[in-house]
Amino acid sequence: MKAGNSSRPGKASGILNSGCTIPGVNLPNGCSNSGFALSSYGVRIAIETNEPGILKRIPEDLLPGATMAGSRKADVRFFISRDDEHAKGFALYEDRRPIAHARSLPQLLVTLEAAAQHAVARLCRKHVFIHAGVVRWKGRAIILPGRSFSGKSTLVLALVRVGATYYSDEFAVVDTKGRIHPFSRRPHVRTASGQKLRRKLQAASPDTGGKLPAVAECTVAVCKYKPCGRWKPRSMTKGETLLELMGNTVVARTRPEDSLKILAKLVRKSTAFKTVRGDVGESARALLMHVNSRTPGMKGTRL
Amino acid sequence: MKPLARKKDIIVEELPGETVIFDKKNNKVHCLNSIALTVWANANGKRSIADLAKIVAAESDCPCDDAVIESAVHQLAEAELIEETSTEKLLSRRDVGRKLALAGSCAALVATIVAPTPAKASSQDPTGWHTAHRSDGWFWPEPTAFNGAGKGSPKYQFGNRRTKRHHVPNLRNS
Repeated sequence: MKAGNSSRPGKASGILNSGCTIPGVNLPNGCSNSGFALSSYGVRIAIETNEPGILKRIPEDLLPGATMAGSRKADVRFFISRDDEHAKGFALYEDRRPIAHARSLPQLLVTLEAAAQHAVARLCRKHVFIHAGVVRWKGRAIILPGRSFSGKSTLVLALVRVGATYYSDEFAVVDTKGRIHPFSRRPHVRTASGQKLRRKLQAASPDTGGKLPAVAECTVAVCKYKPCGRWKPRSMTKGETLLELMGNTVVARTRPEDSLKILAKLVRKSTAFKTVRGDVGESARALLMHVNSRTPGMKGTRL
Repeated sequence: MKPLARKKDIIVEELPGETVIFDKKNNKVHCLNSIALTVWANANGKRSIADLAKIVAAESDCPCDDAVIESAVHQLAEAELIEETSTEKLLSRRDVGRKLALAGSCAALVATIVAPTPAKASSQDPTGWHTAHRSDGWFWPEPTAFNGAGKGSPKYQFGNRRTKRHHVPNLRNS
C-alpha cells in the first residue's frame, strides 16, 4: 500500500471527494478535497487534504496492517491543510477539530501517524488495545506494559536483536478470545538526540513484511527501568496482572465491561512477573531466559 | 458496626483466588483477595464483624481474627466499596494496623488503581518534541516545534503556548 501513489489499489474505490470542508481553510482554485480511506481492525479512517501533493508524502505504513477502505463512511476524518494565512505551516484536523500544527509536513505527518493509530485503538469495537510492547518468543507472546518513557520500545528492540519476533512497540491488540495480534508499526524511541537514534533504528528496523499470526499464550513482564537495577523477577497473581493491564488499556474507562472480560481471558492463560531492570541488553537476555525457565517444554532451551 | 457493601455501578470479574471490580462511579479498579471478597459479598448491613469473621472462617476452613475483618472493612471503605453510613464507627488506619500486628496477619487485602483515560494509555510524543497535554486529552506541539523557536530565543519570549494556539482558526464557533 502506498499512500498517495497513482498505482494505489484502492484509488478508484477508496478515493474520497466527500466535500469535508473546513471553515476558514481556503481550497486552491479549481481544486476540491482529495484523500483516501484506510481500514484497520474494523476502524475506518479517512485522510483528506486540500493539496493533493501532500497525499504522496504520507508514509506507507501509517496504520499497520491497514487495507484500503471503499466506503465513504469513515469513523474518523483527518484533514491536512496548508495554512499560509495564520501561522505558515501545516495544520491537522480530526473531525474538523484542530489537533496539531507544524512548520514542516514531516513533523505533522508524525503527529498524524500517532493520532491515526490512537484513533484505531480508541474506536476499535472487537479488540482491546493495551499500551505495551509485544514480541513473540517460541510461540509465546511477551507483553511489556508500561507508560510512555518507561523504556518499552528500547526493550522490545533489544528482544528483537536477541531473536524474538517484533509485534509492536505501542499496542498489544487482544481479541475476544484473549489472543494477541500484531500492531507492527515502525518502532519509536525518544531521546534528547532523537533524530540520530531514529535513523539508526530505521536502518535496523525489524522485518514486519509478512502476516504475523495471533498468539494464544503469553507472558506479561512488568519491567521498571532503574539505572544499575538488578534483575529480580517476582511472580504476580492473576489479579495483580489484570490490574496492571487495565492500568494501560486504552478503553478501560470507555468500555470497562469488554476490557475486563477480554483481559480476564488473557490473564487466565498467562504467566506474569514484575522486576526492576538495568541495562537493556542484559535485561532482554534475562527476560527470555526467565520465560524459557517458566514455560513447560522450554526449560533448558538456549537463546 | 454492621457494614453494608455498595453494589451499584460496579462490574465484577472473577479470577482464580481473586476478584477484580471496576467502579463506574470513580473509574477505579480494585483487586480483592478471597477474604476481602467474602467480606464484601456478605456485608449486607445486618452482619457484624464477628458474624463476618465466622463466615470467612467457614469458607477458608481456618480461624479468622476480627482484626483481619476490620482491616478488610477498612480497606473496602477506603476503596468506596462499603457504604459510608454503615462504617461510622470505623477504626483509624493506625488502630487497624496495631490490631493486625497483634494478630500477626498480613495487611493488603484490596489493591486499587485508577483506570487511565484513552490519551494516558498511549505514547503522546513519538518524535521527542516537547508536547503539552490538553484538557480534552490530545496534544499540541509546544513552541519548540510550533514556530521553530526554542526556549531562550527572542521569538519564544513574545508568544506563549496559549497565544500561539489562537493562530489556528477556532472552528467550533464558526
